[in-house]
Parts: sequence; C-alpha cells; structure tokens
Amino acid sequence: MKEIIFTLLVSVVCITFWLWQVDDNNTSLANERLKNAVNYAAHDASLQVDRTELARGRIVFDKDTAEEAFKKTLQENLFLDAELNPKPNTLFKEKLSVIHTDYIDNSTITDYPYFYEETNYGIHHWIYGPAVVFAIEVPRPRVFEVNPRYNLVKWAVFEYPVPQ
Amino acid sequence: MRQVIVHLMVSTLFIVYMFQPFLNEIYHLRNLAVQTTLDHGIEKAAVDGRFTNTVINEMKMTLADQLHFSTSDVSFSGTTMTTPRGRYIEGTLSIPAGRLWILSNVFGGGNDIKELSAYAKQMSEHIPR
Repeated sequence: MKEIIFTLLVSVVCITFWLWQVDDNNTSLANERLKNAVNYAAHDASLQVDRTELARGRIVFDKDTAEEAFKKTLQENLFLDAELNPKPNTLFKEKLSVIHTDYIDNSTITDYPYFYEETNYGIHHWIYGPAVVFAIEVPRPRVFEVNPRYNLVKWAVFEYPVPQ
Repeated sequence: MRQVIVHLMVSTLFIVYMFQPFLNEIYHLRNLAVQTTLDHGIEKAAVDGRFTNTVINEMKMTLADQLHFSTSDVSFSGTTMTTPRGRYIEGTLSIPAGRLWILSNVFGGGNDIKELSAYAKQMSEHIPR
C-alpha cells in the first residue's frame, strides 16, 4: 500500500514535469520556425522594388507586391492557407496576424544609418539602407489545453539586398 | 514473490520517468539543429540562386560534426538549378530521428518518427550575368 501511494505521488510529479517539458520544447520550436519564417518573408518583401524608381537610381518599395510576397512566403514556410490560417496537422493551431508593416526607402528617408524604433512591438534596429519592417503575431501552439495561453510575436527588419 | 513483481513494475516506471526526459530533450535539440543549419544554408543559397554543392556539403558536415552522424545519414533535397532573382528556392534537410522512447518495446514504438526534417523556402537574390 505504501509503495502504491509513493509510486502514484512520484508519477504525478514526474508526469507534470514531463508535460511541461514537452510543452516548452514545442514552444521553443514554434519560436524558431516563426522567426525563420518572418526572416524569409521579410527578405522576399525587400526584393519587391519599383522598377521605374530603380532605373532612376532610387530604391522605393512596391508596397502591394511586397505585402503579397511577404504573405506568400509565410504561407509556404508555415503551411498556412491564403487567410493565414494553419493547415491541418501542422505546428500552429490558430490564425497568424501581420501586426506591423513599415517601409524605409528613398521616398521617406535618405540619411543612413538610421535608427528605426517602434516601441509598441519592441523593434529597435540600425538600418544602413532601404529596408522593410514586418511584425507578426500568433497564439502559441499549446500541447495541452491546461497550458498557459499567450501570443508569440516576431519581427524582422530586412534591408534591400544589393545584387552581388 | 509479490514484492519482486511490485518492484519490477515500479522500476520500469521509474526508468521511464528518469530517462525519457533526456531523450525528449535530445530529440528537441536535434530538431533545432536541423532548423538552424538549413536557415544558414538557405541564406547562402539565396545569394547564389541555388543550393550549391559547397553549401550542401557544408550543411551536412555541420550536422555530422555536431550530432556525430556520418554525412551519408544527412539527406538534402532542394533547388540546385540556378534560379533568377525573385523566384523561389527551397530546401529540405533531414537527419535520422534516433531513439525516441527509452523502453520502446513497452511504451511507444509502432508509429515512431524515422526522420527529423526542416523545410525552408525563400526567393533568390541572384542576377544571372
């Protein structure tokens, strides 16, 4: 009887820690994938420039195409549909939102380096050339419903990649 | 005799409680290693417009060195043809998942994951000359 009670108590403690570990590892993986995805998406958005302005030697982002490219790359990397809802049997469980978009280019700023700051989302970054800024937010994927619920926020600042 | 059976059953549980978390952590760290290695690889591949043999070998060597695999255990499939600026390149890097369960004959087994994979897709920066 003593052994059974002891085993039950130890089991409760060990399983609690085990479940916490699984949930924590899942969140860590979600953070890594989200950050990578926002980096790739911002990179692709930064390639979308107005050709007419480029011919004049100015880098001005084509905002509509940039946002399209950003969303498309996010969808491809995080397995989302067109509305940024995750597909079944993928890591994320709820809709992703693009919460901040900004473009720093030759139509707004011409003096580099430029310190970009957006305190609402904790974005602080020195920019040395025309750049795009994106921030995304998604509820973290919980392994179990009892785990705490909070949102993951990732941002990326990506300068226009000059051809090499 | 009853005591022996009870101790055997309890010992099995305790072995799982003590050692399974280590295997969970190893699985998680391997997953992160593959993700990070592919992330570095696709950055370089975007400049060249494709995953060159150099980049692919570098990714395989990194994983083989860090995780003590042979390079033949690390597999890669992706864009190896030069892709112009603005078109997508993609890559999938995989390693063997290894042992997932401490007592796979008792707990787990059956639907074991065989490979850990990372997938990345982004646009090429390459301008063909």
